[in-house]
Amino acid sequence: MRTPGGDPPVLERDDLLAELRSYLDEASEGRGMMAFVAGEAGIGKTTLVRTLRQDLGDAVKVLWGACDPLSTPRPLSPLLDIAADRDSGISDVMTEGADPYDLFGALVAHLKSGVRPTMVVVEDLHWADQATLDFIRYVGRRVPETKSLVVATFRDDEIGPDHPLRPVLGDLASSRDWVRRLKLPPLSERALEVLAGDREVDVVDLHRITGGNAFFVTEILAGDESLPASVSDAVLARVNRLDTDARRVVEVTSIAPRALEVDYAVRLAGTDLAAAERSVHAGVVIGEGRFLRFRHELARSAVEESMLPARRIDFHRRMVDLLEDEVEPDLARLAHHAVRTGDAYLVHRFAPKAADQAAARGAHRQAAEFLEAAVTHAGGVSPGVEAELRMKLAWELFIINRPEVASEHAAAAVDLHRPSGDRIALGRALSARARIDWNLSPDEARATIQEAISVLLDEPPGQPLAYAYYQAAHFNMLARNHDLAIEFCGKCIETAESVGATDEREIGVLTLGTTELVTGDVDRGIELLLGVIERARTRDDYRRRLVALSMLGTGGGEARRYPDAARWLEEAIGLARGFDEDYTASYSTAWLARIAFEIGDWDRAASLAATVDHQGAVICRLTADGALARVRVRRGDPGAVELLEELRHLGEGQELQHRWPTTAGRAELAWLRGEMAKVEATARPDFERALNTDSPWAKGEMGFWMWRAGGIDEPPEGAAEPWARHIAGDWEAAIRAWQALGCPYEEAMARADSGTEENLRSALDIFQRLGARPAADWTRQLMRELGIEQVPPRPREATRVRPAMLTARQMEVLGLVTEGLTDAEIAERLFISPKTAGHHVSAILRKLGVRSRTEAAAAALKMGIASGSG
Amino acid sequence: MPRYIVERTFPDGLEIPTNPDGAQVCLTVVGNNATEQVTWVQSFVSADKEKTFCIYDGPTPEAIRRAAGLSSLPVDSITEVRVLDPYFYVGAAR
Repeated sequence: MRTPGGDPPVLERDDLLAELRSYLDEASEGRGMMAFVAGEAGIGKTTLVRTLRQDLGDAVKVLWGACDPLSTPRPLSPLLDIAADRDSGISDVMTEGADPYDLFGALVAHLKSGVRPTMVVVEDLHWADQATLDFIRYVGRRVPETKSLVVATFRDDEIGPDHPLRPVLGDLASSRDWVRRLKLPPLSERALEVLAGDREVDVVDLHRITGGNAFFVTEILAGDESLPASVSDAVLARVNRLDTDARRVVEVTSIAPRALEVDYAVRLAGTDLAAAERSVHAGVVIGEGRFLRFRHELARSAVEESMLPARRIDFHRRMVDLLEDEVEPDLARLAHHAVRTGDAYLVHRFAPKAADQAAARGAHRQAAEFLEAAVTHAGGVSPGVEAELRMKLAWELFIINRPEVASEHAAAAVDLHRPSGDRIALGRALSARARIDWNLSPDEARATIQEAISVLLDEPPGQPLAYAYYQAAHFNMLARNHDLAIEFCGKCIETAESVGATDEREIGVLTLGTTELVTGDVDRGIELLLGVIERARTRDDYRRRLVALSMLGTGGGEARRYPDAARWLEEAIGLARGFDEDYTASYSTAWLARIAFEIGDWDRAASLAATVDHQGAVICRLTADGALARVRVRRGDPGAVELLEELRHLGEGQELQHRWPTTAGRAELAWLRGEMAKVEATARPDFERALNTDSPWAKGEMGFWMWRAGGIDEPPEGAAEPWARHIAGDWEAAIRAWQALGCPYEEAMARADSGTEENLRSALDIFQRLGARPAADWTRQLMRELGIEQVPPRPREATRVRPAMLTARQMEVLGLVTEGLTDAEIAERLFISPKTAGHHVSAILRKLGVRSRTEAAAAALKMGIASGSG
Repeated sequence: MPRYIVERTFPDGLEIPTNPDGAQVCLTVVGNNATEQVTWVQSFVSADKEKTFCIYDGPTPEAIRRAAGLSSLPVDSITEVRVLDPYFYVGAAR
């Protein structure tokens, strides 16, 4: 069946079509591209892409998928469409419960392999479910390695500032030159004149009513009478001209969000195929294969809203009956209609199952919506069932970053379980609630997990008890309470082993390793975590491997095991990028910035901090911008005060481990400005908090600033070795310890405080090499106060001017090149990846205008850059 | 975008000849600045040509430092400044 007369001609789209064709040319050369096509509803986005597809013929393989206009869309709906094509590379992978990333990977592999270029069309992204947005992000990042053009359409006037599509657009469209955005402009009056043809229409009026919207124009021109007041009127006028049976077909079609099977339409309407044909011939709906659909969503909603609610509900109910008889009913579709009947029984039959399916596919927003519908209609179900629904809903809400609402549902679930006597269910609910509440109020979470443990101890031990122990251990690790964390880790592992709960055992060991790393025996912590990584590798469990690697990297950074920590962090970032685990990649990069700051590589710290995408996570910002702010403090650069103040507000209510480094930065700034009273006032609160933890480095550095301000004379118990030595006045030991760790700034502070002329001179050298002007000025002043003669003046900066425009880092690398080091050796020496070292070397060769490392070394010697001078 | 005064020391004096070579030096600096979104507004040079005070617009002090590094220019200090125009206050005094 086809609409008589065909579609109206495509006008004023030649430029956009040419643009898209040029992208396809690029793609066929192996430089894949992505185009976002934006425009209001009815402006002609679909028509544009369909026209392109027709023009292309067989030269290009086309895969086509669309998002559902369901209030709760089917997860991965566009990929379901695409998988229906046997030649999509994913039809076999697209199975119930398939991991979404396996699917994405299979499709991208297919896009890389083809001989012909492929155009992948994803329509109506403004309706996309979360998993589909993940797909767009995934394919958008990898498309340049393929021979394909991905075209994604969306209504730009329907995505508000909080729309989940926004961050995806922001991520992809900025700074990636293979991603383009096209916008469809409205049709001009001239185009309307062509469309009106022989009809006598006031084109200026028509343009005013329709705003040049192609769909509106077509609908209005299809009417016989004079111009109607609105497009909705135009659509309904056409429907009303149909006979009763054909009109009924149109009405039932309107309750299906996208398209309706012709035979379902006929059965629901209680009529015959002839009536369906009449509705198509009148041009009100379009016949496409075995489906009926509206030309546009605007027409569908106009018809749907014109029906009495009772009739709509009746249609939805009968739709559920029809779908249920299918061999493999589509759960999301069933749940969509079930929710619209408002019938609690039907909602509960389908929504929870549809939610499970959505969650398994990574569509957590959709899962939450189905569960919300189920909870709203929970009147007739047992408290136990309602509690389980609320618990699941709480988790899904927590995952999609709505912790407050999640916490309310978790609390309600706990209350529902209390009177039931099911201690295990109550204990599990309490554990989950503690996890959800942790970021909102750690103290309450601690009390909740304690209650969970005591409730679960009433029953024989099982997996829920092991999990509760893990949770308690984790909280105490985060708060740096060593003994409690170790105790709960032990109980978790012991319980898990006795009941065969493998997962809980592994996360118990992971937490034990992390605890040892940050508050105990560092080497034992590393050994335990490496064990977790090895076992995860053999099981192909990338998530566990990633979590353990990032714990090793961040915990190793906190313990100042720099070279190893940097290597683990680089590995974590690589792994995280491969699986689009953006948060972990960001947090690990933030830690690389902190390490670069601590080892005195401040250029690198600042540029790393600038690349950290905070992902809305406070601790990413505190870590990355904390490093940046401290670089400014130590260089005497502007912008330090403002940034530190911002971070102070941001850090309120966060764990001490994420706050004390910036507090130390504020104390240091006050000291460098000579405001001694402010140093102690700034340092004291977090110093006292640190004393209540087992964190050696927090006690050490906060203790150091208290000592500097005259607030304490003795090192606090449990302070990290180098700080403790410094505070105790054991200068030589402190200097050696800082040197061994690789912290030049701290080493120079110890040298300066020692008061010997030799140490003061080398402190000044170090500060000047770092570019630490305020600390260098302080050292010079100390030297004058001590009566040391010939205090070196502020450096003749020009001595630092580098030949051949090499950067400081490149000078350093060149020094190592002249020593004959390979990229891998340079990488190891500078805590960077071999790839980065390689980039530096090629930049140096380019700038020196030489072709080999040997020539570079020769040039370096000629320019007087002595070997190893970096 | 914040405005900064960047102080630099040139022990051998800053000599930029008024010829195509000098123009090329300035263009190179401007080109390097552009990669860091940094704009060199103008500079004041001490009589002995050893010190310069350069007015720059840039997103962050780090960008100013990176841009200086690209052009091998020394940086003594960076101060964030605001424009103050005394004639702005003339009307207010009336």
